[in-house]
Formats: sequence, C-alpha cells, structure tokens
Amino acid sequence: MASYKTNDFRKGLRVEIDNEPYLMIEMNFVKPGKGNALYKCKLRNLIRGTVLDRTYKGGDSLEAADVEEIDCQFLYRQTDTFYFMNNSDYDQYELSEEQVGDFWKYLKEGMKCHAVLWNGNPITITPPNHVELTVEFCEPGAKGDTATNVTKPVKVETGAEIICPAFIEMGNVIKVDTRTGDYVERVNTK
Amino acid sequence: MACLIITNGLDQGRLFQLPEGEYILGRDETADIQIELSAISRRHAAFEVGPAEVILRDLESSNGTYHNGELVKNSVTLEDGDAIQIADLTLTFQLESTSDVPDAENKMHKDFASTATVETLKARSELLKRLRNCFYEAGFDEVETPALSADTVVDRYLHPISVEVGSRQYWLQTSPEFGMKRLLASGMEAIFQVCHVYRDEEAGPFHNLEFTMVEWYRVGDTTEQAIKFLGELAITLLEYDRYEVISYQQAFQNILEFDPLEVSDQELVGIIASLDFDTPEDWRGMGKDDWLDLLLTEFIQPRLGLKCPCILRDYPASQSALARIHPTNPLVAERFELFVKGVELANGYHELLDADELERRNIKANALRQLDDRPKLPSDSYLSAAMRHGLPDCCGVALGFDRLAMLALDKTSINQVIPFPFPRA
Repeated sequence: MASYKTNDFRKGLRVEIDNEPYLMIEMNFVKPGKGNALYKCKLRNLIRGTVLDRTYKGGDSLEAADVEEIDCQFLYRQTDTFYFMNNSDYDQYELSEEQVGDFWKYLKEGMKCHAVLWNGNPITITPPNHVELTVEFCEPGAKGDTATNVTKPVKVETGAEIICPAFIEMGNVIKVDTRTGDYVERVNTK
Repeated sequence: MACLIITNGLDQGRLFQLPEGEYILGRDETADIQIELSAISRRHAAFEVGPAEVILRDLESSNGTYHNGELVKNSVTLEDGDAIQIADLTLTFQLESTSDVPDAENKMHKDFASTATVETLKARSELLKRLRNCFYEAGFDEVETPALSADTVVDRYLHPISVEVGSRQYWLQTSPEFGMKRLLASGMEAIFQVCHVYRDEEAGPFHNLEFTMVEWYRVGDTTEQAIKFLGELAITLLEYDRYEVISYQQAFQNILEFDPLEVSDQELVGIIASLDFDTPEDWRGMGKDDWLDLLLTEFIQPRLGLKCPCILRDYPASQSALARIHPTNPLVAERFELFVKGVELANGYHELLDADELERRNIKANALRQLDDRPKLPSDSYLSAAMRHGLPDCCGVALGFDRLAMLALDKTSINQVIPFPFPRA
C-alpha cells in the first residue's frame, strides 16, 4: 500500500493508523536548527469523529488510507439496515443504524446523499444540508397562533420528530437543516 | 453559470463558480467559499443559487454585507454585474462567467502575487540595509561564495538538495560555511555574506526550503567576543537595550532541574516519561541528543528571549557540529545560539580547526544518516583541504534573516516576509 513520508504531511491527508482511517486536520512543523524535525499532527478519526494528537519525527511514515467520496442515493430501509446505491457504478451498500446515526431522520427513498468509502466500504453518509419532509402527524395549533416563537413537535414521513412553529399543519411540507436538526421554513407545495 | 470574482487584494481575480445550490461564504473551514480575513465572520453570507435567480443573504455577520454600497438587511436578489462588499473584500457577481478558465490556470493567476505585502518588503529592505551597515562599520568585507558546490555540510539532520551537472553531483548549500572558511584559509580576515541557502524537507511557519542566511566570520575572535558582537547586533536591529547570556547547562537546571551534561541515559528517559507532553511514539528508541532536543524545544526554547535577546552557550560536546570542544571542559563545545521570543535566530561556533577531527565527525554523522536511511554525504571536501593547509583561529555565526525580519516586523509566518514561498516559487 502507498505510504506518506513526513515530508508529504499536510492538512487534508487521509492516512491509516491502527487499522482505522484518519484525516490530518492540523500539522505543525518544528525543527531545531541542528536537531531532528518533529511533525505535530491532529488527526480526526473518519469513523468515530474523535481527534488524535500524534507527534512524528522526520523520516517516519504513515500508510495512505484508501478513502473516496462519492454521490449516492438512499434506496430503502429494512429494519436496522439502510441500503444505498452508488450513483456512478450502481454498486449497493448496506449501512447499520449505528453508522447512519441521527441522519435516519432525514432519509427519504431516492434522496441523493454524500458517502465516504474506505477500502470500498461506506463509513459515513451525509444527507443534503436541507431536506424537505411532509408532516404526517401533529396536534392542531391553537387559533391565531401565527408567531414563530410558539413551537410544537410534529411527526414527519420518515418517522422522526421535528420541532416546528405552532402554525404547521398535517400535510404541510417543511424544510429542515440536517446539520442542526432545526426547522427552517414551510415550503409552498403549489 | 453564475459566478463570483474577487476584485481586490491578494486573491484578486479568484473566481468561484456557482452551480445550483447553496453556498456559505465565511472564515470557517467548512465554508464553501472560505476567505481567511479576520473581519469576515465564520459564516458571513450565503448565496442561494436557484434555476432562475441568485439570492444573497447576510447571516447576521458582525461587520455586515454590502450590496452595491447598501447594507443588506436580510437578503437581496443579485443581478449581473452587482458589486458585493464583505469586510475589506470586494466581489463582482456575474450571471454568466465570461471566462472558462480551468481551475489550474485560475490558481496560477492567483498565485503570481507576493505573499508579503509591498509595505513589508520595503521594511525588509530597510532592515537589510541597517544590517549591512552594522557589518561595514565593524570593518567586515562582504563576500559571495558558490550556492552550488561539490561540497556539502555533513549533518545527520540537514538534508541538502543535490543537482547533477554534467555527470557530477553538486549540492545546493545548506549554509555558506565551507566557501567562507576557504576564504579565511586564503587570507581574508573579517567577512560576511547574505545569501540564499537550501534545506530539503523544511516547511512551516518558521521554515521555507529556500531561505536567506546572514553568515559572518572574524579571525582572532574568542567565543566571548563573538557572543558580544552577536548580542549587540541583535539589540541594534531589534531595538532592545540589553541582551542576556545563559549556559545550556544553567537553562536546563533552571527550568527542568537537572544537569544535561551529567545526566545518564536512564535518568533522562525517566525525566521524559514523567513529563506530560507530545513525543513521537517510539521516542525511547532515539538517542541522548534527540531527547535533550525534545526537552529544549518543548520546555526551554519557548522561554528564551522573552524580555530581551538571549544567547544560549556551551552546548553539550556531542552537539558540537563544527565547533571546537572547550579546551578546559571536555563536556561542552564552544557553540552558542541566539533566541528572541522563543525563536531560534542564530547559531555560532568557535570554529573547529582540526581536519582529522572533522573527518571523524563526518564519519559519525554519515553512520547515523545511514541508520536513518538517508544517503551518505561526501566526507572529503575543499574544506578539509583548507583546514589541512591551515584555517586561522576564528569564530563564525549564521543568522536566519527571514526570521529576523519576522521578529522586527512582528509577523507570525515566514510567508509574510518572503514574496514567493516554495509552493509558489
């Protein structure tokens, strides 16, 4: 497998440490005039999101991680397994509930997503920043409740609960920010 | 396709294409259009690009977003040719990108410019003039020696760049040391040089592969005299009223409470293990000098030269490089370094004169290089010939001019004081 020498170290490098993929998010070069160089790195685990501090000395090397970013489509969910399809080669991937995390809330069949593959297997899935979801159930809002600061939970088509302003009704389509889980606005469907 | 073009500053001409979608402009790493200017908020403004129109929305930025000179209260629909101002940055919006410049050319277009401002380059020129004057006033002659030479310094951790000329291997100099000592052996007495030197694999806020070195030698100087000249040069150029001198041994005793000259390997390993700091995983496999360097870099260097320039003297004999061993204390070499605000600025020696000793040190350095999987460097040189002929007793000092400029002009990155760092050289 390809490897990177310290001389190649830079922000954005994808490397493998203890059999897990990492992204180099910071790299500081330190060198006394006559001494060996030190490379002080911060690395983010691409599966768990945890950050690792590691110092390497001049001449050390790290294995390159075979990491690829692709566009894919959410196909369907079967109990705890989520099925996706690579948009360019139509390969299908299975992800567990744990791997998908909170993003299950926004996944609609046919939705375009972004995936990170490691050694050809998906490790993370990211939905678009904004998704539109139909409200399947909610308590009716009190009459005259048009202010946006009065909120209530609603249940959307994916089965997730989203906090919305009180004026949202069943059958409305709402825009949700998948990065924060927040309601953005009501979408006009006609 | 709609696009945005930066119309001022260093990034002038940079173009961002806007296919349908939503784009955040800001200082944040995750921003789609990332601009590293402090007056720009992390998430400053958003561009919502639809099939028919493009909407600019201010994201409650601290310094506001201006559209054709007017503050954007919430959002505006952009029209072809609109001017957008965000902090110091001005952009033009175009509905159709007029140029179909490929990305790579676009990058070249942007990278032609100096990373140092014109103001800084002028101040750097002034500093260089003052530095040269210090040497002329002290009676030094300015010299020039080859940047490309058949010889190179043999050091475990210096990686010279080799260049093939004809069928012979030459080296870009990591310092002008060999050439200048040949001049001393040829009869010159007080010489200085300002030149570019090259060290492979060195890149960071304080390092660039090619950098400017000021190096000087004076025949007859003692270590005391050489330290005095260096200290006075530093306070003149950096405008301090004094400098201080501390021994390597004393600095370790003051800060880490052990004697670096007498400590055993075992004790040193125990000391490092007891301290909480980032070390390479396999640090135990390194040697004593590497361990001392780890501690010096982490704990001592950041505290040197905070009040005034600080000269650290009498390095361990094992780190003598090309300095002579102290005639009455074989534990130390007559080597000294200058630090200002924790930055290593200069390195000086009472020079080694013994050609046989040079050869022994070269053999040792080459053995260590081979241990590190580094190529062996030529041990025989014009310098050893000059030393056999007779190098007069002298002291020499090398000072990094780019770092001096960083300190004098209060800059945090070497890229701010040199126009074209290696990635855009």
